[in-house]
Amino acid sequence: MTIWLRRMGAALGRAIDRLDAELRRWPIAGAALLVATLLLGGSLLLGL
Amino acid sequence: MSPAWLAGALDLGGDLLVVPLMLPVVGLLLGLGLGGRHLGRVALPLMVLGLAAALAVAAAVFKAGAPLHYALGGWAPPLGVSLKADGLSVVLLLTSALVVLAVGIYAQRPFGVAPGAVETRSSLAFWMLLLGVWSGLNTVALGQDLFTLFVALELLTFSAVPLVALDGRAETLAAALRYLLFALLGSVLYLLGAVLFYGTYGTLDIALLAAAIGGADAVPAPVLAAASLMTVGLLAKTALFPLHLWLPPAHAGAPPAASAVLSALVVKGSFFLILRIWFDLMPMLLTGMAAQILGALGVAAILYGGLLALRQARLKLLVAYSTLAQLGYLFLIFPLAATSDPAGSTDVVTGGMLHLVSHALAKAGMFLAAGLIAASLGQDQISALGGIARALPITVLAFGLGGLALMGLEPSGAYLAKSLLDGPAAASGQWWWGLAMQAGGLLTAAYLIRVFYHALAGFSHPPSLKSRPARYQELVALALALGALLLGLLPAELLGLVAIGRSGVELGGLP
Repeated sequence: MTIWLRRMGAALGRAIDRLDAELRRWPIAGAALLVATLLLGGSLLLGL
Repeated sequence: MSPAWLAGALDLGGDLLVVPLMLPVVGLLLGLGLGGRHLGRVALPLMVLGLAAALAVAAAVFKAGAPLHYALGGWAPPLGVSLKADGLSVVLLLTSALVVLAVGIYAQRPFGVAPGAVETRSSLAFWMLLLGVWSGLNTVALGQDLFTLFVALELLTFSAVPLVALDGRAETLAAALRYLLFALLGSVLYLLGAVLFYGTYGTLDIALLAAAIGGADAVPAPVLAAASLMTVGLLAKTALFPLHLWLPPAHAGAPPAASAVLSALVVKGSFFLILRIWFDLMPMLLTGMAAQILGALGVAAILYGGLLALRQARLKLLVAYSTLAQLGYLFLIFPLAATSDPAGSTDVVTGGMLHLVSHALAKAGMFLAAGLIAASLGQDQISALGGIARALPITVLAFGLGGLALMGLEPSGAYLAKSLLDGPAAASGQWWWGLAMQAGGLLTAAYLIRVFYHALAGFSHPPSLKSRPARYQELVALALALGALLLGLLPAELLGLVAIGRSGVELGGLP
Protein backbone atom coordinates (compact mmCIF):
# COMPACT_ATOMS: atom_id res chain seq x y z
CA MET A 1 0.00 0.00 0.00
CA THR A 2 2.78 2.42 1.03
CA ILE A 3 4.83 1.56 -2.05
CA TRP A 4 1.78 2.02 -4.24
CA LEU A 5 1.09 5.42 -2.70
CA ARG A 6 4.72 6.47 -3.11
CA ARG A 7 4.66 5.46 -6.77
CA MET A 8 1.43 7.38 -7.31
CA GLY A 9 2.90 10.45 -5.58
CA ALA A 10 6.09 10.29 -7.64
CA ALA A 11 4.11 9.89 -10.88
CA LEU A 12 1.87 12.85 -9.96
CA GLY A 13 4.97 14.87 -9.12
CA ARG A 14 6.59 14.10 -12.45
CA ALA A 15 3.35 14.89 -14.29
CA ILE A 16 2.99 18.30 -12.64
CA ASP A 17 6.66 19.13 -13.32
CA ARG A 18 6.11 18.22 -16.96
CA LEU A 19 2.92 20.32 -17.10
CA ASP A 20 4.75 23.31 -15.64
CA ALA A 21 7.58 22.96 -18.14
CA GLU A 22 4.96 22.98 -20.93
CA LEU A 23 3.11 25.98 -19.50
CA ARG A 24 6.35 27.96 -19.43
CA ARG A 25 6.87 27.51 -23.17
CA TRP A 26 5.99 30.49 -25.35
CA PRO A 27 3.45 28.83 -27.68
CA ILE A 28 1.53 27.39 -24.75
CA ALA A 29 1.65 30.67 -22.83
CA GLY A 30 0.49 32.52 -25.95
CA ALA A 31 -2.36 30.07 -26.40
CA ALA A 32 -3.32 30.47 -22.73
CA LEU A 33 -3.40 34.24 -23.20
CA LEU A 34 -5.63 33.86 -26.26
CA VAL A 35 -7.97 31.38 -24.56
CA ALA A 36 -8.26 33.61 -21.48
CA THR A 37 -9.09 36.62 -23.68
CA LEU A 38 -11.69 34.64 -25.64
CA LEU A 39 -13.24 33.17 -22.50
CA LEU A 40 -13.49 36.48 -20.67
CA GLY A 41 -14.44 38.46 -23.77
CA GLY A 42 -16.94 35.82 -24.87
CA SER A 43 -18.67 35.62 -21.52
CA LEU A 44 -18.88 39.42 -21.25
CA LEU A 45 -20.03 40.01 -24.83
CA LEU A 46 -22.59 37.23 -24.71
CA GLY A 47 -23.86 38.53 -21.36
CA LEU A 48 -23.35 35.20 -19.63
CA MET B 1 -3.58 63.90 19.88
CA SER B 2 -1.79 63.83 16.55
CA PRO B 3 1.80 65.06 16.21
CA ALA B 4 2.36 68.56 14.80
CA TRP B 5 3.73 67.29 11.45
CA LEU B 6 0.67 65.09 10.98
CA ALA B 7 -1.74 67.91 11.87
CA GLY B 8 0.06 70.15 9.36
CA ALA B 9 -0.07 67.44 6.70
CA LEU B 10 -3.79 66.87 7.27
CA ASP B 11 -4.42 70.57 6.59
CA LEU B 12 -3.02 70.10 3.09
CA GLY B 13 -6.06 68.04 2.03
CA GLY B 14 -5.83 66.84 -1.56
CA ASP B 15 -2.49 68.64 -2.07
CA LEU B 16 -1.00 65.95 0.17
CA LEU B 17 -1.30 63.45 -2.69
CA VAL B 18 1.51 65.17 -4.57
CA VAL B 19 4.04 64.26 -1.85
CA PRO B 20 4.08 60.45 -2.35
CA LEU B 21 4.29 61.00 -6.10
CA MET B 22 7.20 63.43 -5.86
CA LEU B 23 9.44 61.74 -3.28
CA PRO B 24 10.64 58.87 -5.53
CA VAL B 25 11.09 61.32 -8.41
CA VAL B 26 13.27 63.53 -6.20
CA GLY B 27 15.33 60.43 -5.40
CA LEU B 28 15.68 59.57 -9.09
CA LEU B 29 16.84 63.09 -9.93
CA LEU B 30 19.29 63.10 -7.04
CA GLY B 31 20.59 59.74 -8.21
CA LEU B 32 21.54 61.21 -11.59
CA GLY B 33 23.76 63.74 -9.83
CA LEU B 34 25.04 61.71 -6.90
CA GLY B 35 25.71 58.34 -8.52
CA GLY B 36 25.51 54.95 -6.87
CA ARG B 37 28.07 55.76 -4.17
CA HIS B 38 25.71 58.07 -2.29
CA LEU B 39 22.26 57.25 -3.64
CA GLY B 40 21.65 54.35 -1.24
CA ARG B 41 22.21 56.58 1.77
CA VAL B 42 20.18 59.46 0.32
CA ALA B 43 17.31 57.18 -0.74
CA LEU B 44 16.81 55.91 2.80
CA PRO B 45 15.61 59.22 4.34
CA LEU B 46 13.36 59.69 1.30
CA MET B 47 11.83 56.28 2.00
CA VAL B 48 11.24 57.21 5.65
CA LEU B 49 9.57 60.42 4.43
CA GLY B 50 7.56 58.32 1.98
CA LEU B 51 6.24 56.16 4.81
CA ALA B 52 5.35 59.31 6.76
CA ALA B 53 3.58 60.71 3.68
CA ALA B 54 1.63 57.47 3.19
CA LEU B 55 0.63 57.53 6.86
CA ALA B 56 -0.46 61.15 6.50
CA VAL B 57 -2.60 60.32 3.45
CA ALA B 58 -4.11 57.38 5.34
CA ALA B 59 -4.86 59.60 8.36
CA ALA B 60 -6.40 62.30 6.14
CA VAL B 61 -8.65 59.79 4.33
CA PHE B 62 -9.58 58.14 7.63
CA LYS B 63 -10.35 61.48 9.29
CA ALA B 64 -12.41 62.75 6.36
CA GLY B 65 -14.15 59.39 5.86
CA ALA B 66 -14.06 60.21 2.16
CA PRO B 67 -11.51 60.04 -0.67
CA LEU B 68 -9.03 62.89 -1.22
CA HIS B 69 -8.93 64.48 -4.67
CA TYR B 70 -6.33 66.54 -6.46
CA ALA B 71 -6.57 68.00 -9.96
CA LEU B 72 -3.14 68.51 -11.55
CA GLY B 73 -2.61 72.17 -12.36
CA GLY B 74 -6.15 72.90 -11.20
CA TRP B 75 -7.56 71.47 -14.44
CA ALA B 76 -10.50 69.17 -13.79
CA PRO B 77 -11.09 66.07 -15.97
CA PRO B 78 -11.72 65.50 -18.85
CA LEU B 79 -9.33 68.35 -19.73
CA GLY B 80 -6.89 67.70 -16.91
CA VAL B 81 -5.66 64.73 -14.95
CA SER B 82 -6.85 64.00 -11.44
CA LEU B 83 -5.51 62.02 -8.53
CA LYS B 84 -7.62 60.28 -5.92
CA ALA B 85 -6.83 58.53 -2.66
CA ASP B 86 -9.54 56.19 -1.43
CA GLY B 87 -9.32 53.24 0.94
CA LEU B 88 -7.76 50.95 -1.69
CA SER B 89 -5.15 53.57 -2.66
CA VAL B 90 -4.17 54.05 0.96
CA VAL B 91 -3.58 50.32 1.44
CA LEU B 92 -1.30 50.15 -1.62
CA LEU B 93 0.54 53.38 -0.68
CA LEU B 94 1.22 52.16 2.85
CA THR B 95 2.25 48.65 1.79
CA SER B 96 4.60 50.01 -0.88
CA ALA B 97 6.18 52.52 1.49
CA LEU B 98 6.71 49.87 4.18
CA VAL B 99 8.20 47.21 1.91
CA VAL B 100 10.35 49.68 -0.05
CA LEU B 101 11.75 51.09 3.21
CA ALA B 102 12.47 47.58 4.53
CA VAL B 103 14.17 46.57 1.27
CA GLY B 104 16.06 49.89 1.27
CA ILE B 105 17.52 49.13 4.72
CA TYR B 106 18.29 45.50 3.78
CA ALA B 107 20.00 46.50 0.54
CA GLN B 108 22.46 48.91 2.18
CA ARG B 109 24.91 46.00 2.40
CA PRO B 110 24.59 44.28 -1.00
CA PHE B 111 24.11 47.50 -2.98
CA GLY B 112 25.84 50.09 -0.83
CA VAL B 113 29.36 51.27 -1.68
CA ALA B 114 31.78 51.23 1.24
CA PRO B 115 34.13 54.25 1.59
CA GLY B 116 37.17 53.66 -0.59
CA ALA B 117 35.55 50.81 -2.53
CA VAL B 118 34.98 50.99 -6.28
CA GLU B 119 31.43 51.90 -7.28
CA THR B 120 29.73 49.12 -9.25
CA ARG B 121 27.14 49.45 -11.98
CA SER B 122 24.56 47.55 -9.97
CA SER B 123 24.81 49.86 -6.95
CA LEU B 124 23.47 52.80 -8.99
CA ALA B 125 21.07 50.67 -11.03
CA PHE B 126 19.49 48.99 -8.01
CA TRP B 127 18.60 52.21 -6.20
CA MET B 128 17.36 53.93 -9.35
CA LEU B 129 15.19 50.92 -10.22
CA LEU B 130 13.87 50.57 -6.68
CA LEU B 131 12.86 54.23 -6.73
CA GLY B 132 11.30 53.65 -10.16
CA VAL B 133 9.21 50.75 -8.84
CA TRP B 134 8.13 52.85 -5.86
CA SER B 135 7.20 55.76 -8.14
CA GLY B 136 5.19 53.46 -10.41
CA LEU B 137 3.33 51.93 -7.49
CA ASN B 138 2.43 55.29 -5.96
CA THR B 139 1.10 56.44 -9.33
CA VAL B 140 -0.89 53.21 -9.71
CA ALA B 141 -2.37 53.84 -6.27
CA LEU B 142 -3.37 57.45 -6.93
CA GLY B 143 -3.92 57.65 -10.71
CA GLN B 144 -7.48 58.21 -11.82
CA ASP B 145 -7.36 57.93 -15.56
CA LEU B 146 -6.56 54.94 -17.69
CA PHE B 147 -3.63 56.55 -19.49
CA THR B 148 -1.89 57.76 -16.31
CA LEU B 149 -2.35 54.24 -15.02
CA PHE B 150 -0.82 52.84 -18.22
CA VAL B 151 2.22 55.08 -17.78
CA ALA B 152 2.48 53.96 -14.15
CA LEU B 153 2.25 50.34 -15.22
CA GLU B 154 5.03 50.82 -17.77
CA LEU B 155 7.22 52.57 -15.22
CA LEU B 156 6.64 49.60 -12.93
CA THR B 157 7.49 47.09 -15.67
CA PHE B 158 10.56 48.89 -16.98
CA SER B 159 11.90 49.27 -13.44
CA ALA B 160 11.12 45.70 -12.36
CA VAL B 161 12.56 43.93 -15.42
CA PRO B 162 16.18 45.17 -15.06
CA LEU B 163 16.00 44.46 -11.31
CA VAL B 164 15.74 40.79 -12.25
CA ALA B 165 18.94 40.91 -14.32
CA LEU B 166 21.15 43.01 -12.05
CA ASP B 167 23.93 40.43 -11.92
CA GLY B 168 24.16 40.43 -15.72
CA ARG B 169 24.51 36.64 -16.08
CA ALA B 170 23.21 35.07 -19.30
CA GLU B 171 20.39 33.12 -17.63
CA THR B 172 19.13 36.11 -15.64
CA LEU B 173 19.21 38.26 -18.78
CA ALA B 174 17.18 35.58 -20.59
CA ALA B 175 14.70 35.49 -17.68
CA ALA B 176 14.44 39.30 -17.72
CA LEU B 177 13.86 39.32 -21.47
CA ARG B 178 11.14 36.69 -21.10
CA TYR B 179 9.53 38.83 -18.38
CA LEU B 180 9.85 41.97 -20.50
CA LEU B 181 8.26 40.40 -23.58
CA PHE B 182 5.35 38.91 -21.67
CA ALA B 183 4.78 42.09 -19.69
CA LEU B 184 4.86 44.11 -22.92
CA LEU B 185 2.25 41.79 -24.40
CA GLY B 186 0.15 42.61 -21.35
CA SER B 187 0.77 46.32 -21.88
CA VAL B 188 -0.36 46.11 -25.51
CA LEU B 189 -3.62 44.46 -24.47
CA TYR B 190 -4.17 47.09 -21.76
CA LEU B 191 -3.46 49.94 -24.16
CA LEU B 192 -5.78 48.44 -26.78
CA GLY B 193 -8.52 48.39 -24.15
CA ALA B 194 -7.83 51.99 -23.18
CA VAL B 195 -8.06 53.02 -26.85
CA LEU B 196 -11.47 51.33 -27.13
CA PHE B 197 -12.67 53.20 -24.03
CA TYR B 198 -11.44 56.49 -25.46
CA GLY B 199 -12.96 55.77 -28.85
CA THR B 200 -16.35 55.05 -27.28
CA TYR B 201 -16.60 57.75 -24.62
CA GLY B 202 -13.92 60.33 -25.50
CA THR B 203 -12.41 60.30 -22.02
CA LEU B 204 -10.10 58.12 -19.98
CA ASP B 205 -11.03 59.46 -16.54
CA ILE B 206 -12.32 56.56 -14.42
CA ALA B 207 -15.04 58.55 -12.63
CA LEU B 208 -16.37 60.03 -15.90
CA LEU B 209 -16.23 56.65 -17.64
CA ALA B 210 -17.99 54.93 -14.71
CA ALA B 211 -20.76 57.54 -14.81
CA ALA B 212 -21.19 57.18 -18.58
CA ILE B 213 -21.17 53.37 -18.47
CA GLY B 214 -23.45 53.19 -15.42
CA GLY B 215 -25.92 55.65 -16.94
CA ALA B 216 -26.35 53.70 -20.17
CA ASP B 217 -29.06 51.08 -20.67
CA ALA B 218 -26.60 48.58 -22.10
CA VAL B 219 -22.83 48.45 -22.13
CA PRO B 220 -21.50 48.80 -25.72
CA ALA B 221 -19.70 45.76 -27.13
CA PRO B 222 -16.35 47.59 -27.67
CA VAL B 223 -16.32 48.50 -23.98
CA LEU B 224 -16.89 44.89 -22.94
CA ALA B 225 -14.12 43.82 -25.32
CA ALA B 226 -11.90 46.53 -23.84
CA ALA B 227 -12.56 45.29 -20.30
CA SER B 228 -11.62 41.73 -21.23
CA LEU B 229 -8.47 42.79 -23.12
CA MET B 230 -7.30 44.96 -20.24
CA THR B 231 -8.07 42.28 -17.68
CA VAL B 232 -6.14 39.58 -19.54
CA GLY B 233 -3.21 41.95 -20.11
CA LEU B 234 -3.10 42.69 -16.40
CA LEU B 235 -3.45 38.99 -15.54
CA ALA B 236 -0.29 38.33 -17.58
CA LYS B 237 1.55 40.98 -15.58
CA THR B 238 0.16 39.60 -12.31
CA ALA B 239 1.37 36.08 -13.30
CA LEU B 240 -1.95 34.45 -12.55
CA PHE B 241 -1.98 30.75 -13.51
CA PRO B 242 -1.66 29.77 -16.38
CA LEU B 243 0.01 33.04 -17.43
CA HIS B 244 2.98 32.65 -15.13
CA LEU B 245 5.68 31.70 -17.62
CA TRP B 246 7.90 34.61 -16.62
CA LEU B 247 7.69 34.37 -12.84
CA PRO B 248 9.75 31.31 -11.80
CA PRO B 249 12.78 32.05 -14.02
CA ALA B 250 12.67 35.72 -12.99
CA HIS B 251 12.95 34.81 -9.31
CA ALA B 252 15.53 32.06 -9.86
CA GLY B 253 18.42 34.44 -10.49
CA ALA B 254 17.18 37.77 -9.15
CA PRO B 255 18.86 39.31 -6.10
CA PRO B 256 16.77 38.66 -2.94
CA ALA B 257 15.96 42.36 -2.56
CA ALA B 258 14.60 42.40 -6.13
CA SER B 259 12.60 39.20 -5.57
CA ALA B 260 11.08 40.70 -2.43
CA VAL B 261 9.95 43.81 -4.33
CA LEU B 262 8.74 41.79 -7.31
CA SER B 263 6.71 39.33 -5.29
CA ALA B 264 5.43 41.71 -2.62
CA LEU B 265 4.68 44.76 -4.73
CA VAL B 266 5.12 44.64 -8.50
CA VAL B 267 2.59 41.89 -9.21
CA LYS B 268 0.19 43.61 -6.79
CA GLY B 269 0.36 46.81 -8.87
CA SER B 270 -1.26 45.13 -11.87
CA PHE B 271 -3.74 43.28 -9.62
CA PHE B 272 -4.69 46.66 -8.16
CA LEU B 273 -5.58 47.92 -11.63
CA ILE B 274 -7.82 44.89 -12.21
CA LEU B 275 -9.62 45.88 -8.99
CA ARG B 276 -9.98 49.46 -10.26
CA ILE B 277 -11.47 48.27 -13.56
CA TRP B 278 -13.84 45.71 -12.06
CA PHE B 279 -14.95 47.55 -8.94
CA ASP B 280 -14.74 51.25 -9.84
CA LEU B 281 -15.07 51.40 -13.60
CA MET B 282 -17.46 48.57 -14.46
CA PRO B 283 -18.95 46.97 -11.34
CA MET B 284 -21.63 45.36 -13.51
CA LEU B 285 -18.97 42.94 -14.81
CA LEU B 286 -19.01 41.24 -11.43
CA THR B 287 -22.46 39.78 -11.89
CA GLY B 288 -21.54 37.63 -14.84
CA MET B 289 -19.68 34.45 -15.54
CA ALA B 290 -16.41 36.34 -16.06
CA ALA B 291 -16.14 36.85 -12.29
CA GLN B 292 -16.53 33.10 -11.81
CA ILE B 293 -13.79 32.48 -14.41
CA LEU B 294 -11.40 34.75 -12.48
CA GLY B 295 -12.29 32.90 -9.27
CA ALA B 296 -11.71 29.52 -10.94
CA LEU B 297 -8.29 30.69 -12.20
CA GLY B 298 -7.56 31.80 -8.65
CA VAL B 299 -8.41 28.34 -7.27
CA ALA B 300 -6.28 26.71 -9.99
CA ALA B 301 -3.39 29.01 -9.02
CA ILE B 302 -3.77 28.14 -5.32
CA LEU B 303 -3.65 24.38 -5.95
CA TYR B 304 -1.14 24.40 -8.80
CA GLY B 305 1.26 26.86 -7.13
CA GLY B 306 1.05 24.90 -3.88
CA LEU B 307 1.79 21.56 -5.58
CA LEU B 308 4.68 23.05 -7.56
CA ALA B 309 6.10 24.65 -4.41
CA LEU B 310 6.12 21.18 -2.85
CA ARG B 311 8.24 19.92 -5.75
CA GLN B 312 10.98 22.55 -5.64
CA ALA B 313 14.50 21.66 -4.62
CA ARG B 314 15.63 25.29 -4.22
CA LEU B 315 14.38 27.49 -1.38
CA LYS B 316 14.02 30.58 -3.56
CA LEU B 317 11.96 28.76 -6.17
CA LEU B 318 9.75 27.32 -3.45
CA VAL B 319 9.02 30.87 -2.27
CA ALA B 320 8.43 31.93 -5.91
CA TYR B 321 5.86 29.18 -6.56
CA SER B 322 4.29 30.03 -3.23
CA THR B 323 3.73 33.54 -4.63
CA LEU B 324 1.92 31.98 -7.57
CA ALA B 325 -0.37 30.17 -5.14
CA GLN B 326 -0.96 33.14 -2.84
CA LEU B 327 -1.91 35.39 -5.76
CA GLY B 328 -4.77 32.98 -6.39
CA TYR B 329 -6.49 33.98 -3.14
CA LEU B 330 -6.74 37.57 -4.38
CA PHE B 331 -8.87 36.45 -7.33
CA LEU B 332 -11.50 34.87 -5.09
CA ILE B 333 -12.61 38.45 -4.40
CA PHE B 334 -14.41 38.61 -7.74
CA PRO B 335 -16.91 35.73 -7.51
CA LEU B 336 -17.43 36.31 -3.80
CA ALA B 337 -18.15 40.04 -4.18
CA ALA B 338 -20.45 39.24 -7.10
CA THR B 339 -22.76 37.07 -5.04
CA SER B 340 -22.69 38.87 -1.71
CA ASP B 341 -24.90 41.63 -0.32
CA PRO B 342 -23.23 45.08 -0.04
CA ALA B 343 -22.04 44.38 3.52
CA GLY B 344 -20.64 41.02 2.45
CA SER B 345 -18.96 42.63 -0.56
CA THR B 346 -17.26 45.15 1.71
CA ASP B 347 -15.98 42.24 3.83
CA VAL B 348 -14.73 40.49 0.70
CA VAL B 349 -12.83 43.53 -0.59
CA THR B 350 -11.44 44.20 2.90
CA GLY B 351 -10.39 40.55 3.21
CA GLY B 352 -8.74 40.66 -0.21
CA MET B 353 -6.79 43.82 0.56
CA LEU B 354 -5.76 42.43 3.93
CA HIS B 355 -4.46 39.33 2.19
CA LEU B 356 -2.58 41.56 -0.25
CA VAL B 357 -0.83 43.38 2.62
CA SER B 358 -0.25 40.23 4.64
CA HIS B 359 1.27 38.40 1.68
CA ALA B 360 3.41 41.41 0.77
CA LEU B 361 4.93 41.62 4.25
CA ALA B 362 5.32 37.86 4.77
CA LYS B 363 6.73 37.18 1.32
CA ALA B 364 9.15 40.12 1.39
CA GLY B 365 10.41 38.85 4.77
CA MET B 366 10.70 35.28 3.46
CA PHE B 367 12.55 36.27 0.28
CA LEU B 368 14.98 38.42 2.27
CA ALA B 369 15.52 35.59 4.77
CA ALA B 370 15.96 33.04 1.96
CA GLY B 371 18.50 35.39 0.35
CA LEU B 372 20.48 35.62 3.60
CA ILE B 373 20.48 31.83 3.93
CA ALA B 374 21.60 31.41 0.31
CA ALA B 375 24.36 34.00 0.69
CA SER B 376 25.59 32.39 3.92
CA LEU B 377 25.61 28.82 2.60
CA GLY B 378 26.62 29.65 -0.96
CA GLN B 379 23.56 27.75 -2.28
CA ASP B 380 19.88 27.34 -1.41
CA GLN B 381 19.12 23.64 -1.85
CA ILE B 382 16.39 22.76 0.66
CA SER B 383 17.94 19.34 1.35
CA ALA B 384 21.21 21.06 2.38
CA LEU B 385 19.67 23.33 5.02
CA GLY B 386 20.55 21.02 7.93
CA GLY B 387 21.78 22.92 10.97
CA ILE B 388 21.00 26.33 9.51
CA ALA B 389 18.55 27.09 12.35
CA ARG B 390 21.47 26.95 14.77
CA ALA B 391 23.84 28.92 12.56
CA LEU B 392 21.32 31.67 11.64
CA PRO B 393 18.56 31.52 14.27
CA ILE B 394 17.10 34.98 13.62
CA THR B 395 17.01 34.47 9.85
CA VAL B 396 15.34 31.08 10.18
CA LEU B 397 12.92 32.55 12.74
CA ALA B 398 12.03 35.29 10.22
CA PHE B 399 11.44 32.69 7.49
CA GLY B 400 9.40 30.56 9.89
CA LEU B 401 7.22 33.41 11.15
CA GLY B 402 6.62 34.53 7.57
CA GLY B 403 5.64 30.95 6.78
CA LEU B 404 3.22 30.81 9.72
CA ALA B 405 1.68 34.07 8.52
CA LEU B 406 1.27 32.60 5.02
CA MET B 407 -0.38 29.47 6.39
CA GLY B 408 -2.99 31.72 7.97
CA LEU B 409 -2.45 30.86 11.63
CA GLU B 410 -4.11 33.12 14.17
CA PRO B 411 -3.50 36.08 14.63
CA SER B 412 -1.95 36.55 11.18
CA GLY B 413 -3.35 38.92 8.59
CA ALA B 414 -3.98 35.92 6.31
CA TYR B 415 -6.13 34.31 9.03
CA LEU B 416 -8.30 37.41 9.32
CA ALA B 417 -8.39 37.79 5.53
CA LYS B 418 -9.52 34.20 5.03
CA SER B 419 -12.17 34.66 7.74
CA LEU B 420 -13.47 37.74 5.95
CA LEU B 421 -13.59 35.85 2.65
CA ASP B 422 -14.98 32.66 4.16
CA GLY B 423 -17.99 34.36 5.79
CA PRO B 424 -19.57 35.61 2.54
CA ALA B 425 -18.64 32.32 0.81
CA ALA B 426 -20.56 30.34 3.42
CA ALA B 427 -23.43 32.84 3.54
CA SER B 428 -23.95 32.64 -0.21
CA GLY B 429 -23.74 28.84 -0.22
CA GLN B 430 -20.53 28.84 -2.27
CA TRP B 431 -18.70 26.38 -0.08
CA TRP B 432 -16.26 25.43 -2.85
CA TRP B 433 -14.35 28.72 -2.56
CA GLY B 434 -13.91 28.09 1.18
CA LEU B 435 -12.77 24.54 0.45
CA ALA B 436 -10.16 25.84 -2.01
CA MET B 437 -8.86 28.23 0.66
CA GLN B 438 -8.58 25.39 3.19
CA ALA B 439 -6.81 23.17 0.65
CA GLY B 440 -4.44 26.04 -0.15
CA GLY B 441 -3.71 26.47 3.57
CA LEU B 442 -2.87 22.76 3.89
CA LEU B 443 -0.58 22.86 0.86
CA THR B 444 1.14 25.97 2.26
CA ALA B 445 1.70 24.15 5.54
CA ALA B 446 3.02 21.09 3.69
CA TYR B 447 5.66 22.90 1.62
CA LEU B 448 6.79 25.06 4.51
CA ILE B 449 7.01 22.14 6.95
CA ARG B 450 9.31 20.51 4.40
CA VAL B 451 11.64 23.51 4.74
CA PHE B 452 11.36 23.53 8.55
CA TYR B 453 12.10 19.79 8.63
CA HIS B 454 15.42 20.29 6.87
CA ALA B 455 16.31 23.60 8.53
CA LEU B 456 15.71 22.27 12.04
CA ALA B 457 17.51 18.96 11.43
CA GLY B 458 21.21 18.56 12.26
CA PHE B 459 20.92 21.04 15.12
CA SER B 460 24.11 19.74 16.73
CA HIS B 461 26.10 20.13 13.49
CA PRO B 462 25.71 23.69 12.21
CA PRO B 463 27.08 24.15 8.68
CA SER B 464 30.17 26.26 8.04
CA LEU B 465 29.06 29.61 6.64
CA LYS B 466 30.77 31.41 3.77
CA SER B 467 29.67 34.75 5.23
CA ARG B 468 27.43 36.00 7.99
CA PRO B 469 24.55 38.38 7.31
CA ALA B 470 24.50 41.75 9.04
CA ARG B 471 22.28 41.73 12.12
CA TYR B 472 20.17 44.60 10.76
CA GLN B 473 19.42 42.58 7.62
CA GLU B 474 18.13 39.71 9.74
CA LEU B 475 16.06 42.11 11.85
CA VAL B 476 14.47 43.67 8.75
CA ALA B 477 13.32 40.24 7.54
CA LEU B 478 12.08 39.43 11.04
CA ALA B 479 10.18 42.73 11.33
CA LEU B 480 8.40 42.12 8.01
CA ALA B 481 7.43 38.57 9.00
CA LEU B 482 6.27 39.72 12.43
CA GLY B 483 4.23 42.47 10.79
CA ALA B 484 2.42 39.88 8.66
CA LEU B 485 1.87 37.64 11.66
CA LEU B 486 0.43 40.40 13.86
CA LEU B 487 -1.63 42.08 11.15
CA GLY B 488 -4.74 40.25 12.26
CA LEU B 489 -4.70 42.23 15.51
CA LEU B 490 -5.58 45.45 13.69
CA PRO B 491 -8.67 47.08 15.22
CA ALA B 492 -11.87 46.79 13.19
CA GLU B 493 -12.12 50.60 12.80
CA LEU B 494 -8.82 50.64 10.91
CA LEU B 495 -10.02 47.84 8.63
CA GLY B 496 -12.94 50.11 7.78
CA LEU B 497 -10.42 52.34 6.00
CA VAL B 498 -10.48 49.96 3.01
CA ALA B 499 -14.17 50.63 2.42
CA ILE B 500 -13.77 54.43 2.24
CA GLY B 501 -14.73 55.57 -1.24
CA ARG B 502 -16.53 52.34 -2.05
CA SER B 503 -20.00 53.38 -0.91
CA GLY B 504 -20.93 54.66 -4.36
CA VAL B 505 -20.57 51.18 -5.79
CA GLU B 506 -23.26 48.70 -4.96
CA LEU B 507 -21.34 45.54 -5.69
CA GLY B 508 -23.15 42.69 -7.29
CA GLY B 509 -25.36 45.10 -9.20
CA LEU B 510 -25.40 48.32 -11.11
CA PRO B 511 -24.31 51.49 -9.33
